[in-house]
Amino acid sequence: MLKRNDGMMKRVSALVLGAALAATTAVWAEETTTDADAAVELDYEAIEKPESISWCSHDGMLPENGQTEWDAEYERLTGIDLEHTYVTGNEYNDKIELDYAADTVPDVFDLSSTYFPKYVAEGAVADLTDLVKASGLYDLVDESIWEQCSYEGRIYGVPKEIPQACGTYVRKDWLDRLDMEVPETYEEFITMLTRFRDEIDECLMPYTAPGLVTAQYLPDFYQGAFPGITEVDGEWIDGMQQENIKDALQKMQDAYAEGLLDMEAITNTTATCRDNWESGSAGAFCYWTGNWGQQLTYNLQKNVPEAEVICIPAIEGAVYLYSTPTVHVINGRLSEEEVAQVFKYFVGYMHDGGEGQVLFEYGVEGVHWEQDGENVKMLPSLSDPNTTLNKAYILPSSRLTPLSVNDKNMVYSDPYLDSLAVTDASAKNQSFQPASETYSLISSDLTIARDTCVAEIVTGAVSVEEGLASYKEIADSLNLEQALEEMNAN
Amino acid sequence: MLRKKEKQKFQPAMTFRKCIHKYGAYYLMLIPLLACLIIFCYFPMVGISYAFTDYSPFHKELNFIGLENFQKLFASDGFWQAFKNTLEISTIRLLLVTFGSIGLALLLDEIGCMWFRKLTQTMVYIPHFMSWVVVASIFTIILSPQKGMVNSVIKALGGKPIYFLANRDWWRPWLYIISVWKEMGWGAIIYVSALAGVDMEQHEAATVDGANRIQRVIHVTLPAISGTIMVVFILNLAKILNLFDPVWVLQNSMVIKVSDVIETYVYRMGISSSQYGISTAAGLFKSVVSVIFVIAGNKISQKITGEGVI
Repeated sequence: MLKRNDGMMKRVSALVLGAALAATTAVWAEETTTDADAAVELDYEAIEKPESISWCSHDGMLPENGQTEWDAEYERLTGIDLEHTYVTGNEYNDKIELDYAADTVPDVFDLSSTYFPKYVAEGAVADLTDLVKASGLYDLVDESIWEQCSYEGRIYGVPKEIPQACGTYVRKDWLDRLDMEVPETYEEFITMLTRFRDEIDECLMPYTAPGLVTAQYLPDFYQGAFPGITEVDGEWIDGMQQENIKDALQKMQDAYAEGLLDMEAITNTTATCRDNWESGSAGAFCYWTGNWGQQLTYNLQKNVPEAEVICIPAIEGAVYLYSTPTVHVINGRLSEEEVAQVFKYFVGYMHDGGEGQVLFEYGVEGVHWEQDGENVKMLPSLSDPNTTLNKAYILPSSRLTPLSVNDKNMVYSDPYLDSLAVTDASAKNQSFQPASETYSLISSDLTIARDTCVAEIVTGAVSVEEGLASYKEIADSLNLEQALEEMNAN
Repeated sequence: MLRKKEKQKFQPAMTFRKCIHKYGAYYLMLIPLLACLIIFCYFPMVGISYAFTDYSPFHKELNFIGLENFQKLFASDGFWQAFKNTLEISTIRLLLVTFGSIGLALLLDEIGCMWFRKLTQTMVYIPHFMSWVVVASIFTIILSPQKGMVNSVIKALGGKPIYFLANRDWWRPWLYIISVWKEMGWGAIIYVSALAGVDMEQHEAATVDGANRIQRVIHVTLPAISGTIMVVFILNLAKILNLFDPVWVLQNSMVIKVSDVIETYVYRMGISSSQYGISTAAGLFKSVVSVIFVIAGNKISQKITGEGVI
């Protein structure tokens, strides 16, 4: 009896468990199907308009240039209250992080390549994959750009603009004075700098640069080497421990010793370098192309009217680099519905090819721009009538998606287009560095070790071998290898 | 008389109610200050607890991890280098600014012409009100190896230009010079007012005894203001490890080994690397060391002058 009961109990238990399992599986399957369906069948058009959106910005239009008017125009066009907070660039990232600590995170904000991976790894920003695809934005942008903003196949940020690159500007009038051609090899480049130093009286620094560790600003010397964590053939490696960095640092050491590379490069800022260039005392300077190509040319010509500028194609071996894009992200603490609303009425709106994009690119008609036939004519800046605005928040020449209207064209100057053409022809993309817990812990010490090593080598305080050996010792003691393993595992 | 004193001495303590009744208005006036003190000084101290947790601004949960942050901090060579640099730089700065201020105050005290004295005082105070960012920009230009004033003089004398701000041997001396230039005038204010209270009869007596100016300064003036010097010195000792602005704005990769201090280290770890736990642990360590300095300074003061300030 007991045995029979035991058997019965087992059969009943098995039935109950089986039923429970089947029910769970059915529910799970239903939920999975619902999620998958939601992903596929996300009805973008049905996303409702939110009452308000909070946005934190740090660049683009400044408050003194009509930000209030811009905000009012956005509210008028969308019918959404815009809670816009502007903070200066140097305190922006601190503020966003403190906002997370205080739970006052804006709905939408932008992140640079330094911070984006960390925010993704921390789950602090929303997954936008389905929204990007459902909005049609995905198809309008080059897939490589989306790959840059993706982690494990999911998109977490939408680039504000397509990335920009740096190219080397050279004083063309000095080349002409010396009867020289545009250099094509490193040897010719060094000959050019040497002759600038020796034969041009007003040349105080043949090549100016802000710091020594940014390959983007020193492509002619780094020659494809990269002083930092970089991706090679799909693997993350430490560029400071590769063979090509030795040659690059030796080149820089020699150039510094010869007085070809700005003696004050260590303490220079980009502003100092621009001043050097615009005052007419520098012969070569690697900086952003496009809009900056125009500004560097015209500002130099204000001080040296006869000056001519050329953005030279990368010399043999040198690699011009695109920056990693700044991306707009949405607060990961919002509900799915809120994320969709913010995406559609803010991120999607700024790349809509129509009125939203015009507002984000040019600003408010009558305040920031006016119609000039089929073109847009930017108006003088409100804060400084002597300068003309070139954008509201998105640089028109770097727009992510094309405009669908035909009468909002922009006329660009030759220096603008010429410099842009040079980098467009050859510049290489950079990927976002993956997040790594170990790297977060050691990045501060590692960066100092790297900066010190490069500065000591270039100024001749130590030899290339000594400097790199010292760096390797520190990198090993900090366990960089583990950080790289974590990055490559992602 | 004696009975009266004894009576006062053994007077029973006033009850709380009587105390409130008698001094109620004063207590009322004290409330806003106490509130400010609690809100802005004591309440933020709750943040010290982050040193013992795995705090992250991105996560709401807070896990107690004991002394793990301190272990990581003390295992870092960078931290000990920063601690050593802080002690060296701060001590030398403190001594130079203190002695510089005393010297300046004594010189100002010797100026007989009142308008010139006031003009000089105002001129030497001005640098204190300039932000360190501005000061750094000015000195970066002055010390530039290519276009700077100092190097122009060196070149004119036949020397080679020196990249002062990127030279490990020169960076600290220039930090001291800039600090003294900026803070000496402001630091002298308190000594100038202390000098005003020195008994002139003692000076006259010393003069009658044949003391010259320097002897009067050494034997009359300095002993008279020694109490003030000690108080200011001990108060400054409490702030000895608070060194950020001047270092941050003048620092660069070439001199990081001789210039990195605890506060720049804390900033890099906390803000740049988001290691708030380790950063708070470093801040807490710094505060504990500061308290030890103040207590030690007070003890030394008690031994030398017979009186302390706390």
